[in-house]
Amino acid sequence: MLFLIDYDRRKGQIVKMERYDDSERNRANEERLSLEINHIRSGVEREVVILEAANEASMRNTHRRYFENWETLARNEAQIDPRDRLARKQQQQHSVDIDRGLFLVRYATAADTTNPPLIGVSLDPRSDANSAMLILHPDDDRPILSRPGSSLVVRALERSTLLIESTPSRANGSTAASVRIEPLIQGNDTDNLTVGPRAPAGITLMMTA
Amino acid sequence: MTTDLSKTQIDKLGNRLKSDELLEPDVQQLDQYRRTFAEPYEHVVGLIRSSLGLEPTGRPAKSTTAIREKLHRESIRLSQIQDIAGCRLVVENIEAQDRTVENLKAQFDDVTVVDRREKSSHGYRAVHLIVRFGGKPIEVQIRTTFQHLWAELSEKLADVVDPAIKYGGGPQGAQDLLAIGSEMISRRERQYVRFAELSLAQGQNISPEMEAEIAAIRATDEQLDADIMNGLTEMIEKLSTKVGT
Repeated sequence: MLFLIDYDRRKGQIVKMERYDDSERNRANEERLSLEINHIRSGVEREVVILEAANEASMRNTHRRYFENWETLARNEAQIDPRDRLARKQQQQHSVDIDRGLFLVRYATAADTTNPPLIGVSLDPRSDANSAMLILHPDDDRPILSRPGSSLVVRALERSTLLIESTPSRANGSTAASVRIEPLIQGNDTDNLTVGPRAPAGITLMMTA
Repeated sequence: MTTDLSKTQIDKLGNRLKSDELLEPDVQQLDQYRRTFAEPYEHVVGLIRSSLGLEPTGRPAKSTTAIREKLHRESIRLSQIQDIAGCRLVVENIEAQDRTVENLKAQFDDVTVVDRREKSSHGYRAVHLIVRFGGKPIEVQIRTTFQHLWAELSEKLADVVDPAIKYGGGPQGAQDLLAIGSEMISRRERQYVRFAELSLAQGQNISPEMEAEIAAIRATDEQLDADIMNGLTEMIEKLSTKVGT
């Protein structure tokens, strides 16, 4: 998703923000240029920029300056209960070991079904980069599960570690969700039936809010 | 529209952009130049998303305002600016930052790492990677939550109080806030690194002193994070009264 932001630096405020789908990149660029030209013609000093993110919540987090006052930036962060911050560190991301085999990673449930958190799946960087491959739907290019019921497949050539991360889909949103990792088998003798050392029939990861 | 300009044309444009008056044809030519970064940008950001499963916020083209400021501030030519296009990642802590940097380095053939954590730039601490693709540099910023909070605070103060704040100038109160804040965060992150080292050593033969150190850090971990936030909030409130915003 693309965001065209017209920002008044001196006031520290956004004057206008337009949203575009990824397919509207050219239109967003044209409108950015047109806005800049209009500002020159009318002698207005503004910062005009396009940002691109998976969703608005991510963009608002990585570019807080456009949306928050300097007086409240730290206060907003400070208001997060220390226990919640610690819990967030510990519980938003899970790592799970998988053995050689084929696995379904399925987004099972979310506490907030209206704005379910996004579940990111990646190979732990400490694993060999060639040890496993994420197989996505042909229309998707990111290993992100966006709602319960969505899934992707992991093909592991050797023992690997997956990172499963839950991210709120909006500011201060919930990260509570469960993700199920199940082995897929074809019934051959060589099929490996384990996920991790202690979970022969698959495991469920619980992410808390 | 995306025909490459020669280096001489780009730098002449840069000189014109430095002047007080911003002209329409120059903005159009700058736009033409910025669009030549589109393909490398999309490749780099796309790979970060697809291969690493990360969700950076991309900025396909640096704003005209920011480019002009950079040209004014530094003795740099337009063709030398490395962050015309780029993206930003905010990760939970310094351990995740190290891991992300290593992972990104492994993805690209031509990467330069600019680590501003030990030697900050006017208090700004982060790791930047300059990935070269298709002859263009694409900047990837990796910040921890605390480094990010500091950077956004510094930028916002520069916007509304004094642009010099970002580079060590401006009102003394703001300078103090940022200097002390940066040092507090740096100290906290060094402690985090130490904790990670100790945790790694745990299970092996470690001394009772090290065990005690681990226990002490664990016991105060959440409070230390809160202390930074409260310290910053307190300083901000004092500064707010002085600045009168």
